[in-house]
Amino acid sequence: MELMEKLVELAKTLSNPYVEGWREKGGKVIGYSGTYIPEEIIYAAGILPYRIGGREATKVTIADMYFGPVICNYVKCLLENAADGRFDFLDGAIITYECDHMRRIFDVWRRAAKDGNARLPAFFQYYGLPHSRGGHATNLLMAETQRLIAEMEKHFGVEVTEEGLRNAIKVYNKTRKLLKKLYELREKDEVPVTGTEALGIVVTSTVMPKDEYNKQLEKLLDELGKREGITGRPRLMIVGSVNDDIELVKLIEDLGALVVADSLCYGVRGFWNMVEENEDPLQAIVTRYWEHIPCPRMYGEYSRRYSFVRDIARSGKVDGIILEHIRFCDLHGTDNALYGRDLEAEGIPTLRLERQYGPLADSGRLKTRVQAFLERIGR
Amino acid sequence: MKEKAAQASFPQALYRIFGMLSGTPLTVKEGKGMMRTLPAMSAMIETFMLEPHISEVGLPFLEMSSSYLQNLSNAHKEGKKIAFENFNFPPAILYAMDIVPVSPEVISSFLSIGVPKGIFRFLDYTTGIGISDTMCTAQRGGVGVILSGLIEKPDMVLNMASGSCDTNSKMFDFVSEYLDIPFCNIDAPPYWDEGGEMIRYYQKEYRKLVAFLEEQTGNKLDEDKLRQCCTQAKKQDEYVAEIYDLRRAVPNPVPAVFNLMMFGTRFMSSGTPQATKVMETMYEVVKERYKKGQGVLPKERARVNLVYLSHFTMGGEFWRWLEHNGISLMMEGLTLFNHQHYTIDDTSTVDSMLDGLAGQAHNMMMTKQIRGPLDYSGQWFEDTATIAKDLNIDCAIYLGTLGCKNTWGGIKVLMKMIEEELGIPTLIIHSDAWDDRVTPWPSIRDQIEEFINTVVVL
Repeated sequence: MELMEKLVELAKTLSNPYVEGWREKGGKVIGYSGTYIPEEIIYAAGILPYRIGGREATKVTIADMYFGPVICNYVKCLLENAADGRFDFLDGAIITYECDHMRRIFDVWRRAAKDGNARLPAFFQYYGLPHSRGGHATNLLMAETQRLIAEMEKHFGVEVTEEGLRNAIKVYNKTRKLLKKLYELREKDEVPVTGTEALGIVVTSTVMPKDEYNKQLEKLLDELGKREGITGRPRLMIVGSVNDDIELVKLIEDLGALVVADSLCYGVRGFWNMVEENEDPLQAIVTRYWEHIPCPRMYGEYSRRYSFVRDIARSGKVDGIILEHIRFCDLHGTDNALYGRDLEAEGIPTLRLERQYGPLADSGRLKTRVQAFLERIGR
Repeated sequence: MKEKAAQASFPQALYRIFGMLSGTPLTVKEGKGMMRTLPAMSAMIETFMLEPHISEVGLPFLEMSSSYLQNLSNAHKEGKKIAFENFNFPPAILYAMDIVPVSPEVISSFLSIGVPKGIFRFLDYTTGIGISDTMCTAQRGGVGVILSGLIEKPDMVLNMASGSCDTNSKMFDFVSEYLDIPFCNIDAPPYWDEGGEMIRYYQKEYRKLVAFLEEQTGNKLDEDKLRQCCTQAKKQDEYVAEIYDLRRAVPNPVPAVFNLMMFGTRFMSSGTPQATKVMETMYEVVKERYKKGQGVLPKERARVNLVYLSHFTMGGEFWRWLEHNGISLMMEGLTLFNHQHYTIDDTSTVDSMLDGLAGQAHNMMMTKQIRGPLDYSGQWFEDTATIAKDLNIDCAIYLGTLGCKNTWGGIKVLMKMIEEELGIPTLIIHSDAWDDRVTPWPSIRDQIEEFINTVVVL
């Protein structure tokens, strides 16, 4: 499983040989903050879309200078990575209003750069994202997307064509289909991939060119078809706040569990929905990103999220669900309160786990809580 | 049976207290005597009634507050629906449709100002049912009262914090799910633009709200009733603008606690004749003081802009303490709707009135300033700079509340901008406007005092 090790390894660092190789050939890289930013438009411009993450940060010293004390550590780690030069390879970055913490990165990153504490990519954009459904919301988002494309074309001297968008949709849909196949393997009674590996594979999908990634993932899926499956371990699902840190899942699995499913943005919520290939490509892209399984930032849509979580849990035949949220993440923390109530009522055991993002500073506490949960579910 | 009794007693007790106080003009001597006799009411008396120039506005304000609670208590008996709505929503449209508003922030503030430690058990109740302790206390107190059954169950949830505050919005989302009642999300667009795509988006959201209210009540919006409410709301806007102009005077003729009454009036009763009475009286009092050259303070040591919240505990001591210490409160965040970019200026048609109301709601604090990037046109920094220039501000203070991620995320950058670009000293305090257990009031007071003495007044 050399290929597996290679793909998981790529998830541990921010820069990687693919990004470096892309840049050596004169390619540009644009960082984006999360799953509401349509990667296809960046790809169609011939630029590498790259999801910025918090891993590798081991402190938040600079971030604490700019953020208040009640801001989530994932977002602080993003700024810290910028301050420590780990995003210096970015030619651009796009920030959106995924939550109150994330949107302020747009303010603080610029300020830190002004103070000489971080490098700001030359192309730095705010992508306005509404919260309501309806035609006027889609129209607003379409206008924002067109504005973003125009800014990108102007800054980088590129052109986003209809043909380019159609091609991007095909490539990205292929990635989504392959990742779905990976997740179907996790539903089996004998599971050929651990949760730690699965998260690594998903994270890597956000930091390397998709064409190359698709080739490698196809090959890996073939190899996994022959791999011996894991049985006899309690099957868990993880639901909640953003997590690009495979060590968190490893900590859970090291206690004897097997993570077989998730509802995370570095997970099913990021790739589950396809872009319609037979419509106007830009409209189809906007619709897909807008209508995909909603993050808790979309209010009044709990029942849709709940149904999705319950269905994934059933498909994965899970014995229990860990409802995690990063401290101060009120969006997931609040949804988790409702999930806990409703899933338990359906007989699915849950563990609510507030945690810090980062290099597992509170790993002892997490271990104790997960161990107690595994005892509770009798596995 | 017990629950019914409790439901009846909570708002009734409050509205009867407010009603009794509002009908009881007191001399200072009588007020002090009453505070000794009835210590539970002393905070209300001292905040709203003790000083004659305050009580002129304080009494109609208490009367209006009493009606707000009385309406809530009687709503279902009178066949009216109750809407659970946010503080940043002028409720004129609800009054026009005979819907009774209840805002958790208003209930939290009544509790934390009026009753010593009165909010604590309701904050704790919410964490007991699974709401995170990092959620905002502004909502948690009022939600605790409602979910513990002390106020009748609302019939619908209207979330107007969408686009400006996740924590607030998420609490509304939660209440809708927890109580299984209909939910309407009214989303502020992602940033401000003057007369462009963004306000048109919001006007469409406002139409969506009206359609939702019609569906929930089964009644069509009545044009005449709407016009009555808009006419009142327009007058109130005019008084707010006049008072803003009078604030420019040195010394400032607007007492600190008038800020509380001004935004409290808008939050509870925008569009009603009672609110117009409060605002008209406030304007008359301020105008009279201005004419006489009578400032709140004989000599202002510092003119302060509170860039967001004030402090709602300790019986309203915050506003009194500022003045006792020579600090003139020129503006606080919740009164920032002074900047009338949009108002109700055309009451000729239903459409023009709804656009006006949407504009007024779009102009509310948090909805307007806090949502987009700090330095974008019409956002937090630009409005702060306008106030600094208009009102001759000496310093800016931020009292940060634990739940307020939308402001804590950018406040340090904002304050740096204020210092560098406006040349105004700033202070950031970690506290909680409704929960003194986070940072006790004496500690907050000492930090402000030290800042004023050592940085502002040289």
